[in-house]
Amino acid sequence: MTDAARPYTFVHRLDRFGEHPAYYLPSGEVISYAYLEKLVEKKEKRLDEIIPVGSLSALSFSTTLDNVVTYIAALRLGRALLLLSPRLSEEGRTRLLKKLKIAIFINADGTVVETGYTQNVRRDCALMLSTSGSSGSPKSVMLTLDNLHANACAISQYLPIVNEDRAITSLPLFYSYGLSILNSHLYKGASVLLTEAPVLSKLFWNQFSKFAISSLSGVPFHYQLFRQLRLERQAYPHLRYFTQAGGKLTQVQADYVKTLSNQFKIPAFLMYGQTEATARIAYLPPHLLNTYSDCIGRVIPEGELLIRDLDTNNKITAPYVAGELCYRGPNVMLGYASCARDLSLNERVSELRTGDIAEQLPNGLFRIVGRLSRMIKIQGQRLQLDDIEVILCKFNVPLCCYGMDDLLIIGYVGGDNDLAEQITHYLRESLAIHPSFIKVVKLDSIPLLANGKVNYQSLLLAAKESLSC
Amino acid sequence: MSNEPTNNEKLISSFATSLVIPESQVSESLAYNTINEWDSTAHMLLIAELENTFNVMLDTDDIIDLSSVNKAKEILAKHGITF
Repeated sequence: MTDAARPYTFVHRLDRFGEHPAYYLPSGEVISYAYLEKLVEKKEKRLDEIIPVGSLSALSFSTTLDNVVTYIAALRLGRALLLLSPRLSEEGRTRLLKKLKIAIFINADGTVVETGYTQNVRRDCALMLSTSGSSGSPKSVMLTLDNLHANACAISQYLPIVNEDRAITSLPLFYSYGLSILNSHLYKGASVLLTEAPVLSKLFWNQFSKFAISSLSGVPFHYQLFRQLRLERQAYPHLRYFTQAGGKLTQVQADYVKTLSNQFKIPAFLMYGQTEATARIAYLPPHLLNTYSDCIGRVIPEGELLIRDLDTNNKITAPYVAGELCYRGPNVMLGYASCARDLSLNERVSELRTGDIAEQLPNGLFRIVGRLSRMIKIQGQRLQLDDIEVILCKFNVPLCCYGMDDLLIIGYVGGDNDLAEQITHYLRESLAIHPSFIKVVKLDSIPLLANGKVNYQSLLLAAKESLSC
Repeated sequence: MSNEPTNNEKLISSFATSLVIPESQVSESLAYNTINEWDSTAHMLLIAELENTFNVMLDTDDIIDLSSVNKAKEILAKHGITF
């Protein structure tokens, strides 16, 4: 294929930004766009040799230059790549491998494991992201290169990203929000410091100052952490704006974002999105932060948000009437894949049902008021309660899960005396959930509704009773 | 009161509570990110616990410097807590 005939997206022709830095490394090394182009070309050749056409490969995605180059090269080559947490347990990895028939595992250190599986992945599937990072649930989101390109483009229209910017990897790159920062900066020819230093480390903040980082991004948990660090008392003259996504802020956290924005005299962007929409769906224009921090704001460029009646599915246009929040746009995924068969289907989601319940204000802003799906977030980490029930089957007792953000409730019947402790310990080991966010209650029987389904409200009551005594 | 726990006992108990590990595991050399239990969530709970227990207000550098039990003693000592 000649250069002119190549599809031209944010991962192509990286050398058009010349000697401008694409990546800074903690060592001080600077990777220019021209050099990045060479690294990617070389990696494309290597991947072409090891990944059979039509098969699925998986990358254990650490925040290193080599891993980023692999990601970009796979996108250019058009080989479907599943991004995994480098902390995924062996158990989770094996489960994924079998379910999705992954042909090639690329470890974070660059070593490659061939599994012998073959596949026939649909050609338009470029990237797969897990719906819950660390549990090893096979349910993944299938995205196209166009999805990624469109979302990077939309993001760089509403965020003030400029060529001279330097972002920092405060979020993991296998997570859609972290990845969207990488993609939008690549789209704009801006720079990113690739650091693995955890946000709660001296190293991170030293690098933050030393590399004169221009934007800081975090999920609600990070803002809680920034608050505890009393970040507002620091001086960062290079910092130009904050972004937040990954869940609704509590009132205290929202107030703290306002404090940061006022103290540094820079804008803060509250954003809303889902992995199912590549990353971003809506954002709150920063001048509305003081009065509307409880809103998700307005839709991103090229997208459309609508609210549908929960019973009739009709579009709701009146203000303050709640319904399911739905989204249409060029960044909506192809669909989910939970097993190998899903990877070769031809269907495509045209309208994304977010599972969130929302209303619209008379001024046009959207506000989330509830959630339909059985999903909770613990410190920003998304958990499907049904997945947790499946994982806990190994304890061989009847059990059920319920919860809300930052509280996972598990009810069980029978078992050993220390079963509650065993369950808490297991969840901490396998999913890194701190025990203070878990409440395990012993029940006489699993509470059921008249229709035979689990009565989760009754489980909630039992948990509340045991919390208060 | 002679039964009042010593500052060292209070420190060990703060670590055990926020990291949810047995007190016997809280040694001087215990350090951030060396055990799975001491992750960023636990670290935040630990800081809050130490601030309440010893009635001190740690600053940004203290919080990110507090990377081991030993270091915690040093930092608390700066705030007038003796061990």
